[in-house]
Amino acid sequence: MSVVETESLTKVYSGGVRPFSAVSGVDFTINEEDFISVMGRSGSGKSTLLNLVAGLLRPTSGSVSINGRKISELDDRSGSFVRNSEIGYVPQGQSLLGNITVIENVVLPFTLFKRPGEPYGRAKDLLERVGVGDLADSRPKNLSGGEQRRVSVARALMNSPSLLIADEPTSDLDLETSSQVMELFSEINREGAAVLMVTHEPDTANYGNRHFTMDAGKLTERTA
Amino acid sequence: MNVRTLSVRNLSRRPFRTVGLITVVAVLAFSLFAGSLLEESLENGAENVKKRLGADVMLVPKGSGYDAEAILLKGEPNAFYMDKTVVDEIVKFKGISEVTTQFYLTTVSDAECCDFPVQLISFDPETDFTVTPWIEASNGGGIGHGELVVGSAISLVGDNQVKLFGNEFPVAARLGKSGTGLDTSIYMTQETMKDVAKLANDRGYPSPALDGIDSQISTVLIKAEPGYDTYLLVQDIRFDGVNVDVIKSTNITAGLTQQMGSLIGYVKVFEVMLWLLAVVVLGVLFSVSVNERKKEFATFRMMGATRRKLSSLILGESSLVSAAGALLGAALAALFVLPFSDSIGSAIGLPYLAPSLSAIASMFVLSVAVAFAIGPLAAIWSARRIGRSETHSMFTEGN
Repeated sequence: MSVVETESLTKVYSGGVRPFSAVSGVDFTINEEDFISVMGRSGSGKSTLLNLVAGLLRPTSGSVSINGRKISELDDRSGSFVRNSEIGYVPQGQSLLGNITVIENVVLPFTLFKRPGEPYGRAKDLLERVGVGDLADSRPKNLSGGEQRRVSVARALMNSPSLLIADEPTSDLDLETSSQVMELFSEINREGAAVLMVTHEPDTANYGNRHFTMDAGKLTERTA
Repeated sequence: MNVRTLSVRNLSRRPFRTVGLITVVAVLAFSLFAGSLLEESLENGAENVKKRLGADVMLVPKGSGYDAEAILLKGEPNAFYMDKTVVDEIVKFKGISEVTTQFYLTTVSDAECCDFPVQLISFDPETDFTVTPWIEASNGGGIGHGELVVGSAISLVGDNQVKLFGNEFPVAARLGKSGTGLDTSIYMTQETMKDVAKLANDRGYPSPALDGIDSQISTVLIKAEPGYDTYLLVQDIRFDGVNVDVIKSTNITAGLTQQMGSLIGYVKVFEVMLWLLAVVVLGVLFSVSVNERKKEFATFRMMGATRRKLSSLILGESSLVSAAGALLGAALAALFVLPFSDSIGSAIGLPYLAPSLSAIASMFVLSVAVAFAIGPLAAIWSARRIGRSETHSMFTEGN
């Protein structure tokens, strides 16, 4: 079964002088073995597409299904639960909460809905896995950009999602750190989670196994 | 780790802002509780003046009306006299049920019981209906020759005694606190008053009334027949040309209510203004804080937080701040106002009697509740705004 399936997905913003179609009639499917990279100019609709897939935006028309459930038609609580349990989101730039420790940041997604079990053991394992296990009790401000991004990835994996969404995951990282983070994404993909990534950087996009281009709201798959 | 823990962490990591917010609520809670105490104490005091006076009408020498009210309301001791024959002129009036008289004397600073001048009042146990009920309620008996009955503010020495002009007098009863000038009064029989006046004279404080103590009085206290309109009685006395000032107990209460009304009005206006100011200040501060934290809230949404969860995070923080401020402010008000109620009463110059413990507890709870409400109320707008915002725009605006 596909992890993500969109049907004629459209988002039109009508707040400006004239309506602006950020995403226009997108039909695509993401399977669990897919590592999708989406490239495109600024304003082409990439981030809007990610937000639509994550259920953070309601489409003007069309639909998004996550593992068979139409997230675009769910109420806020149900949609949030799908996002929390089936999607891991790695936002652009620094996104850790500064008032809590690294491990508490990782644990947060687990605590947003009632779940059985103890989250700290898994959080510690995830931090070890992304290579920052020794920083579990540090404050985010004491971490480098690369370390913070790794913690964001660990946090996104906390609830074992079937889809990992990453918005410009290497935009503010040096080359070495970028490749380490992208290796991590590849590893996660090989272990069974689909990845949907938006990037401006061709080197980063090359880690994907399916490549798309976004232009004026239209999504086109590039074939080799 | 949950939303409440996160709220506590967020507040503790911004100590300056948190202390500022708590202070705003604490000032409001302080003023609410202190204001309520003041209001209730003044109303209690006014009610008690009427009860303690015990008479419907009080007659004093012409021109002494203001001084007599000052004794009752402000505790300013004074003495004034008129001929005892005035009683014969009074008893003929229609509608009188009981009549009794009192004789006043004041001490000076060597009363040895008190740091303040004391009002000495003698009464006739045979006819009295004003003090005797309070004495009976206090000791179940009466008062004998040489014995005193003291107001609540009079200090005792040794074995339940009061020292006046170098001599110790046994205390037969101590009256409960009234919040009026009568708390600084000492009651005795006419015979005891003669002894005290002689002692004062021997000590070099001659009393001009000493020679006329059997023929003079300070006040005539009248109890009207049940159902009889005291207004008619007062009119009769005035029209008959009796050379006295007439004080109606209901007029005293009405006068007090009028004086208190403006004071309580100012307190209430101040409280409402402060409440609104606190809501606006907290509302602005929460709004600024939410703007600063848009990226944080967007991240929460990306992790799967519901809009309600975001709102509860903001409301949770504001509730914690409000609860801390409300409890702190009300507790400080209790600490500073309750022990100094006597001084406050003196400073205001109106009868002041603190309410019962249960009434104080109710006011405390109410003040805390009203002060607590401003935090969530001030944060509602910010919480609604953040709950409706689009995640992506929050995230980019928060950068």
